[in-house]
Amino acid sequence: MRCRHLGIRYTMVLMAGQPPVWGQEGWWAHRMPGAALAHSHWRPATDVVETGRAITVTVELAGVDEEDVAVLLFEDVLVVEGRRELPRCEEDGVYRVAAIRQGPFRIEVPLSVRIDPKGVVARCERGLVCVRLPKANGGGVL
Amino acid sequence: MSSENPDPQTSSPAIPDALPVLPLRGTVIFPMAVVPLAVGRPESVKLVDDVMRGGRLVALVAQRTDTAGAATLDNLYRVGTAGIIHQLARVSDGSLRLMVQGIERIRLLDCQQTEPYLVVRVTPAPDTRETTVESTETAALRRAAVDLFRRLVGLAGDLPDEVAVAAENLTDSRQVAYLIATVAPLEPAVRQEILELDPVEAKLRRLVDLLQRELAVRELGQKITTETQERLSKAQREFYLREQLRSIQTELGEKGDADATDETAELRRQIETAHLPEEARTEAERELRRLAGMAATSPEYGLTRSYLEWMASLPWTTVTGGEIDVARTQRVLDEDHYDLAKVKERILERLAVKKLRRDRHAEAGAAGQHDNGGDAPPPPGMPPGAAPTREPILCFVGPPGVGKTSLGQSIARALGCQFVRMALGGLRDEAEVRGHRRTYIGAMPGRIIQALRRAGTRNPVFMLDEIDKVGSDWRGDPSSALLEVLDPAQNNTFVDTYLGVPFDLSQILFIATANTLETIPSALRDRLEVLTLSGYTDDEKVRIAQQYLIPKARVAHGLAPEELVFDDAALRQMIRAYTREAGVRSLDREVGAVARKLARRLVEGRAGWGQIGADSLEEYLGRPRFFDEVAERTSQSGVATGLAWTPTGGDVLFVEATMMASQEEHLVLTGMLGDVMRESAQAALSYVRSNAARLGIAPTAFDGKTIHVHVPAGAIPKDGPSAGVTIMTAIASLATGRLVRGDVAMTGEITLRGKVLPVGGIKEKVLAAHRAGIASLILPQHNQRDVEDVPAELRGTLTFTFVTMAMEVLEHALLPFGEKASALGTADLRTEGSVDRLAAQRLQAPERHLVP
Repeated sequence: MRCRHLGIRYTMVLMAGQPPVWGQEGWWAHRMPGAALAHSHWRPATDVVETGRAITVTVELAGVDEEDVAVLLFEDVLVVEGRRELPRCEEDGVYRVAAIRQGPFRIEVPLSVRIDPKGVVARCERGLVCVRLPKANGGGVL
Repeated sequence: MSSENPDPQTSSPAIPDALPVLPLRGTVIFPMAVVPLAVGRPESVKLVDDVMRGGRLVALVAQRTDTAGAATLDNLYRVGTAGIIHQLARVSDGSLRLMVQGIERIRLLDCQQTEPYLVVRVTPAPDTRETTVESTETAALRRAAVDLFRRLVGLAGDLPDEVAVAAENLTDSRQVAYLIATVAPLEPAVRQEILELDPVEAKLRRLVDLLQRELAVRELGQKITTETQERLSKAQREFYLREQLRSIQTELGEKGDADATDETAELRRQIETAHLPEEARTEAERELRRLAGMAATSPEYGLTRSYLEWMASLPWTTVTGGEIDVARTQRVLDEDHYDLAKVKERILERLAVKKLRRDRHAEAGAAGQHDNGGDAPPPPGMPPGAAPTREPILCFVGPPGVGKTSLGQSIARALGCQFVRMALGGLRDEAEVRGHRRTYIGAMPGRIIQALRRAGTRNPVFMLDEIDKVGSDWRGDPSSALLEVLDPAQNNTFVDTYLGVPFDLSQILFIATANTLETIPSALRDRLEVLTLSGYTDDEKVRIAQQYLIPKARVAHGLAPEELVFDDAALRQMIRAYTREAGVRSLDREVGAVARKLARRLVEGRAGWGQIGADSLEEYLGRPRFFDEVAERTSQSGVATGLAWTPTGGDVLFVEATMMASQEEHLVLTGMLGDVMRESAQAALSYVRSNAARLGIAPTAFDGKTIHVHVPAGAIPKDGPSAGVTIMTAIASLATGRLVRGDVAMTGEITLRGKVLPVGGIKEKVLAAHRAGIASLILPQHNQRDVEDVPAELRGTLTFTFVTMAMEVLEHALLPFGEKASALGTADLRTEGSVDRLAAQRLQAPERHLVP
């Protein structure tokens, strides 16, 4: 797992000139069949828990190699991205159901408080990537 | 830094050289769009199954036509989208449900394989777009497209508002173009065109064009829909409300249909018993049928019902009295009215004619045709045959209070007929006479028909009161409507606008009353048989009071015959000093006032009753209200007494003239004189000036003088030529310094050559002179015959001088130079009664103030 801290604001640099992700893919598909645009990244399911001292982000990433996950901490956003490649099925196999998303994924968790980058801990176990973000001392609101 | 950043483009799967083609029917998938697809064709299912094992990439290409057969390259557009299959589910019939997402635009090159499915060589064809900063033009296009799109979403009910919000939040023109192209209602061919267009600006421009057209169509459609809905909903609402009203009424038991039927039946019964003539019956039957088929709640129901009620309640055949007994009529008239011999005679003559004609006609009628009650006239609508009995229209003309209205009542009493009175004063609207069309809400028949219903008979005595005061304005001329009513030749088929069927008015005895004939339109006057009732003389009034007014007052005030007794002198004093009128209305009031006071005294128990004499009058009535001012007025030179005719009887008037020095010669005329009277004054002055020598006036008497002629009372308008001689006398008196005899009054028109021409209203003027205490009258020669109308006993007390020339007037009217007014004045005084004594005193009084 590659972890990096970037002392810049995510929105300022990366969002400019780039298509923002609007809407969960298919979020209105039930209302407007055939009328959703989305990036080709998929978004793994994510929990975000905040305590007095820290914010814990848990991402469900079964079947992803630890090496394929990148955790990027910006001033105001935590980005977890990577790629999932499941093994190909056999030559004569036919998919009855294919519901596991593959290919590039990315989540962005906006942060509302200042984080102490030194204390960030990222672990990968049992198919979950867990990132603990301790709040900076007297961490003011961003 | 960018090398470290994950770029969506680079993170997308690379597009291989060859891709299997999933043909799309009726849809186009744009890059980035996430679309659910259903795949059923076996070769496509096979294609998907194969692809799922590999990179899951397909070429999503729209078919040119919706053919069911296998797709060939010829049948496909050459531009499509490379897509990735995200999810797959197989349903029970073997077909697949896919969730695919477009990745990049691709161009199809050539066919690589056709079996079992089509595989083509492709090359990516990303949209050309500004890489760094969006140009102003692109931004403008994007915003225009988003704006139009938002309006379209607002109009189209099938697009969720979130789509518009999403489009507004997008800043990338390519995404905007694809989002709008995906969501907006467009034909697949148009969508394909958008996909193929390059660069992005071209896509946006085309979209703006399409959106504008769509928007215009939608707006127009919306407008049409709204208008149609409004029209429809109004009609529906009315229907709905009416139904509700009906059910509410039914619930309340207010107006069931059963009631309506009862009502119709009742009306039918009434109509049947009303003996309608043929035409009216037909009309009534027709309306009855309509009524029966009508809802009781319909507004027309009320109109029709009241129309039928009117029809049923009119006296189509009912008559009363009608048995003409001339002797009895005479008796009744004499009972009710004093004297009026001429008028009574004319009435009785008319009745006699009517009786004769009716009797003769009845004899003729008894031979053949229908007959109900001997003297009943032929029914209306029947051809008049031999001679229909037609009533004359009498018109009583005279001052107020002479008994015009009560004469009508007496006639009705004598004939045993109903009496109806219709006041025409201030009547302005023709519809009042003839009725309103019954289509109007609140329409009513005219007053004639209303009065007939009130009378309940078709042959009442019908009094048209104050016919001279009918007005006319833009609402029509009621007098022309009266023409039809009063014309015996056509009033047997009088059609009231409301009834719409003829009603026979020919059996009505019409009597009109008026104060003056002048204001009655001539066409109307022609149809009237005028009977003039002039004012009464004092003697007549005394007798009227004794015979009619006092007995009436006794009854009205609950007094016994011996309790209210006047002697003649008291009455004379009341007439002279407390009233000044042609009729007896004020006298009646004064008698009533005395009776009231007497009644109070009786009740208070302090009454001595007995005769009321002239000297006790002041006790009851206060001080006298009128004085004979004649003598006082003429005790100076330049004042003459004239006579005037007014609608309320005659009156005396004084003409005052005075002369003063001024720079220019003027004739000033005051006292609200009309043009005719002013000209007459000028003629009088010219006559006096031109005959100055004969009158003994110095030729220079008028040089540098302004002559002022004034006729009091200044507030009352006066007109007419009959004051000519009076003005002439006043000016002559002024110029000569000779006084005018105090007891002389005069009337007559003069010409410049000094001729005296006859004037009208002699009888009224003579009565007025008598009332005012004048003893001698100067009248034009030609009016000698008119004096015969004056009661004989009054003629005896007055001296008449008839003149043809102005000089004769002056000879009689002017005293010799230096002689005092009273000298001759007393000579002619009558000596009967206390009033005359008073008058004598007043005539003598001015002597003290006389200017020598």
